[in-house]
Amino acid sequence: MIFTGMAVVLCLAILPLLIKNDFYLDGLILIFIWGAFAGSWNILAGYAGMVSLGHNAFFGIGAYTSTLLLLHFGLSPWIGMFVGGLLATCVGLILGLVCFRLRSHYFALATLAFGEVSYILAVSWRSLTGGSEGLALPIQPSLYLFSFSSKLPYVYIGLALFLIGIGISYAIENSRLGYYLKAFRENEDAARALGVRTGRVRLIAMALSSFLSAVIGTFYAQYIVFVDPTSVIRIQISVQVALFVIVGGIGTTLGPAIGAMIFIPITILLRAQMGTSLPGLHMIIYGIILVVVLLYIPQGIFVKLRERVPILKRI
Amino acid sequence: MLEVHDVSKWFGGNAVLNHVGLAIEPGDVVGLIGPNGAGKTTLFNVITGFYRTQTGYIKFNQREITRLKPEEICSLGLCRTFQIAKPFGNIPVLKNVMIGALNREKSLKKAGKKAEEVLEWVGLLDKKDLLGKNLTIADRKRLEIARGLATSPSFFLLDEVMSGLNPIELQEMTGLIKDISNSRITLFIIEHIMAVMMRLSHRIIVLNYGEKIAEGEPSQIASDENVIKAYLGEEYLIAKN
Repeated sequence: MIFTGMAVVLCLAILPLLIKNDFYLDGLILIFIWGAFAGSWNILAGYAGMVSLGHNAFFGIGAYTSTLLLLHFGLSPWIGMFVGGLLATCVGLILGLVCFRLRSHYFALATLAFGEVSYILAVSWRSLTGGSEGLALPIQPSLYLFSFSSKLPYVYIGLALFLIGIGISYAIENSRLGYYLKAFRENEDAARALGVRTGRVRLIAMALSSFLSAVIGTFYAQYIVFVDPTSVIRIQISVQVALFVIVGGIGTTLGPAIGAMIFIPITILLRAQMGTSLPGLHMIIYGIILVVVLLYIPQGIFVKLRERVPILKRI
Repeated sequence: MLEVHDVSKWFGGNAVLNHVGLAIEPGDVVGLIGPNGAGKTTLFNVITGFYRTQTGYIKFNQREITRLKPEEICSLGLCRTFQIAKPFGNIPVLKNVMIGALNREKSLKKAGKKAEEVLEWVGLLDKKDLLGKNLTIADRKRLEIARGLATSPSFFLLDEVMSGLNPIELQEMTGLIKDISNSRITLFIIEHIMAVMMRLSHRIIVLNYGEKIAEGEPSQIASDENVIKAYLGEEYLIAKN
């Protein structure tokens, strides 16, 4: 299995060198970003079963924190990335302490409200965030500024984040934390009766999930060199990431990545081909895919794949 | 070992437990019986921290556990099963039990080994790869016990692990419970099947309407007037005399 994994990673590493077209490289970067983000959302929603619709806030906190630190203090986004991550972790822990007493739908609704409020805050707090006009990042290729003239460095940083995301999921799945989160998801009382500190393990999941989401938010901001509420903190970001994970396979190691690999190409191809004649067509396709998957393979595509492909059984 | 002192629990104005006290020594096998709604499961919930008692205190190994959470109480070695089995449905049986074993074992490998030992003990090893939700009632009850045993308890509360079993399964379960008792785990058992209770328990406590109405050896309990009244009604006693 290790050998196969290495081979896949090697292929992914060589692939960008073969693609000469910036359009496809852009698609690849977006797959990596969304794959990694879906993976970090899955830590809380998949393993602990706590579906959050407020992860747009963490993504946005990452994007805004690094950008503001760079614009106001000249701090390198490489450091801003971790500051944003830590800030999102703090916010996530507070959100967890307040909302973890809620179950399933109620938790989702509370986080939805939190995500919406964070969006409104980003729009209204003009002195800090620049409101709807957004903030432009300096375009000055330099490693310190986390800004590059070619797409290749972004591809490789994205790939690294993508692989780290999968690695963390794999590590969680094969650790006490993963077992405990699943126990909580399946039955809270039974888990507690067996000595599982359900409050603590969920907070750990929340911390990991929000930290990673913010780190990816920073990377996204650096890549699109522009931060505004619509692109980094709108509520649809949370809905979209949930969609990717549910279709790909919620609560699995590779499901979130597979979700991104299915949806991102559809989106960018449709936008390129039909963007002018039928804008929004990709949303209709999203809906159709979701309905079909939920009807025929409700556990997600990865679970079906795992049944068919022996090598995936151990993941 | 376990000391329950003056414990009460009201739901609204309804006293489900009314100043109940009892003590259990290491190595005991104590049965808890009583008509439906007598407060047996509520007493278990209070002892294991799922409910909080409104009066009195509970001590385990001389340590007060009245205000501890269920997960903390389990880590002290006091474990329980649920009347309605609660398997982790979408997790294989082995992993179900490993979650219990992780209470003591820090590594997954050791927990896996321990889980297999326990599964072998309760006779579920051949089903270790099935998902929890695919087990029969009898096997769910075994899984409940296996998960609990995997936490290495010194005191084990069994809540109706025999209900819904056929005669053969019943016999196997009785043997298993005897086995558990022989491995120096103190047992406190809720059960409705009197024949089994009489054979298994050293001592029986009877609850009725949240109050302890009798306590003693099985033979004493069987002839206790209060107990007969609680189960069969006053008319029965009058008729008998």
